[in-house]
Amino acid sequence: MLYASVLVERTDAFLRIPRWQTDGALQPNTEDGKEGFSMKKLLALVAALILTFALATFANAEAPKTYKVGIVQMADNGAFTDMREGYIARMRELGYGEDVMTFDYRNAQGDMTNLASICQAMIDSKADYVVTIATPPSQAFLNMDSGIPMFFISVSNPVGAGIITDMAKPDKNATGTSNAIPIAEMFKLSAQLTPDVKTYGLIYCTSEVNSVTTINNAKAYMDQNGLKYEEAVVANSGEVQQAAQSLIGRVDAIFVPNDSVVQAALTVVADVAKEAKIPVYGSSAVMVASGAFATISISDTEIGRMTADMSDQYLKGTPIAEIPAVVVSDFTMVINKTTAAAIGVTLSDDVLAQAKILE
Amino acid sequence: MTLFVGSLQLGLMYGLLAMGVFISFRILNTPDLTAEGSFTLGVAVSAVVTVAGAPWLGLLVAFGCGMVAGAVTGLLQTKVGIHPILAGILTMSALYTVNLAVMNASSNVSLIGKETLFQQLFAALPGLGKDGVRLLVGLALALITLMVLNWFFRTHAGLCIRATGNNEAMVRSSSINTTVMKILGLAVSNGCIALSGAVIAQVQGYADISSGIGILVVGLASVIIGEAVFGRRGVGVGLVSAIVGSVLYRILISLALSTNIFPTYFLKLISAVIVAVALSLPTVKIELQKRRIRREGRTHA
Repeated sequence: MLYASVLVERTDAFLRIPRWQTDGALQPNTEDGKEGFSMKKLLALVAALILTFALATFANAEAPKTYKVGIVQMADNGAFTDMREGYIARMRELGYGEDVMTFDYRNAQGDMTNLASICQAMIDSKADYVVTIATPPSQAFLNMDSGIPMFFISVSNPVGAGIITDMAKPDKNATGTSNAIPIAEMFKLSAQLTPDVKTYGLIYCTSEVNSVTTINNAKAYMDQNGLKYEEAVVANSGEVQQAAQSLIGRVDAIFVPNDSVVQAALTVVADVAKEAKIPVYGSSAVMVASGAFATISISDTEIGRMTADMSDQYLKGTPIAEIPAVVVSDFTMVINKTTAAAIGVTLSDDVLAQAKILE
Repeated sequence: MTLFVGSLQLGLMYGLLAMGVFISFRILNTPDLTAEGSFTLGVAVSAVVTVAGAPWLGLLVAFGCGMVAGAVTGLLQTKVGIHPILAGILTMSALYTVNLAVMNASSNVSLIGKETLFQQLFAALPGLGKDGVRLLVGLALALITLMVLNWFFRTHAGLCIRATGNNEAMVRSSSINTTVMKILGLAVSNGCIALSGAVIAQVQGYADISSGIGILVVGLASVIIGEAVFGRRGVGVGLVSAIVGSVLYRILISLALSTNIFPTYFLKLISAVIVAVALSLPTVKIELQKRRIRREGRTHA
């Protein structure tokens, strides 16, 4: 623990050196006016270094306990990043300041061959616990069987993914949050805002377990409630525009699940739909911010924050097995006003009062 | 330490992939893009067969399926006359659907808590520890495949494949059917790639439809890093250098991962730079040699 935070301090200190040097070299030294990099500055630098070390050692001697937390994220996308930032912000709020808790954040940048190496690095650095964002990192880390507790974020089907047997009783030293999209609420919202919609277009990527789960739930709901649907499947975000265009004329609204591939190209879907004057229902606030009409969602930041509260319980002494994994079920209505105007939907005062309105 | 041992384990397992890429890229001398699809095919088949209760069979079936995928690319290249790059791309994208079908239309199959070959060996060889078992499996698979391939490429068929990659016109004029040789070569290549995927699925504990993304770059980088160390020589040395290259590549990646100096989003850039530096070493060596010769030339003049 002590070694780790000294290391962090040290890399910080090393990073500062080049800046010092360039500062000195570029600007004429006002004190003696001749040399860019004076002995005085060198001495000051050495002093600063010694001070940093001293402070680091002191801080460690006084702090009761420091934590090292690993964060493994699957890829760079808005939702995952919001979850991570929400998590970190909440931990800081709960009193785990920078001197007490350091986060070792790693991102596989979409390449699964990196995941195993990242997870090994986390175990190697003896992290106190690890936070995983999305399904593959959670599976990869759990499978290492390292004995390090794991908190997962955004795994839509934890039981199916094999990381927990019973949501109420975590049995694999792992617990966390699942953000299954509230399908029934979603369609009720649509019935309230755009009651004429009878046929929905579904755009999703078949390679994402999260979105396929949501789509299957949506289809089941629509079958039960006499709604019709048309599907457009994509393999990458480059195909999204054509998929959206293929639905125009055949559907009254478009529904996009929690799918990072489609989300990446959501502005395209929104534009196509605006032109055809049909609403796009998304599954996160990020999508509504990108131009989708409305959603019922829990904010991604909030999912991160809820997971942080679970980590806090663990750090305060509750064993993982007694912290049940939860399906997040606290929703808000999010509506994009600009899109509403563009597709000609008038919002009642009632709705305006309830919903979170984005421009 | 875990990081180094881990790199060694993964490097050996991805070494199978590197050997597969070596076969198409160096021996057959064709750019084959099937790899991204056939690797995932191996991952998917192995996972599904493991869930059904036969992890070892999973490896064999994956190898067979990979061979079929390679043969399809070969047929498209030769019988249909499609450009090699395009033929690979076509098979790769067709395999996307095939892979989903193998996994029963789900994009992720979990092996956590299932009886993988590693779980079986953990129980059978408790003395080795988990790292020991993973290392043993990686080493055993790499060595067995290496020996089989080394033998194969010295048989009549193997020599014909090598000759086809060297000088197709000459081989054809010796009344050897180059079409069959190309198809066979691509089949063996993709069999190895799928086998690599099969063992990776079991060690990482899940199969995901995106497992193969970027895998061709990994394979090519491994082959070329290996060549930077061993130089370009015969088949035997070439295959060994592919495995060594794969291990070195994993070590380089884990070094990139363990540096804390750069922000996280630098990962891909750092790994690209490290690989580029490793690849430039032979050229640097030659430059230095030339300079020495020039200097010596001046002193002796």
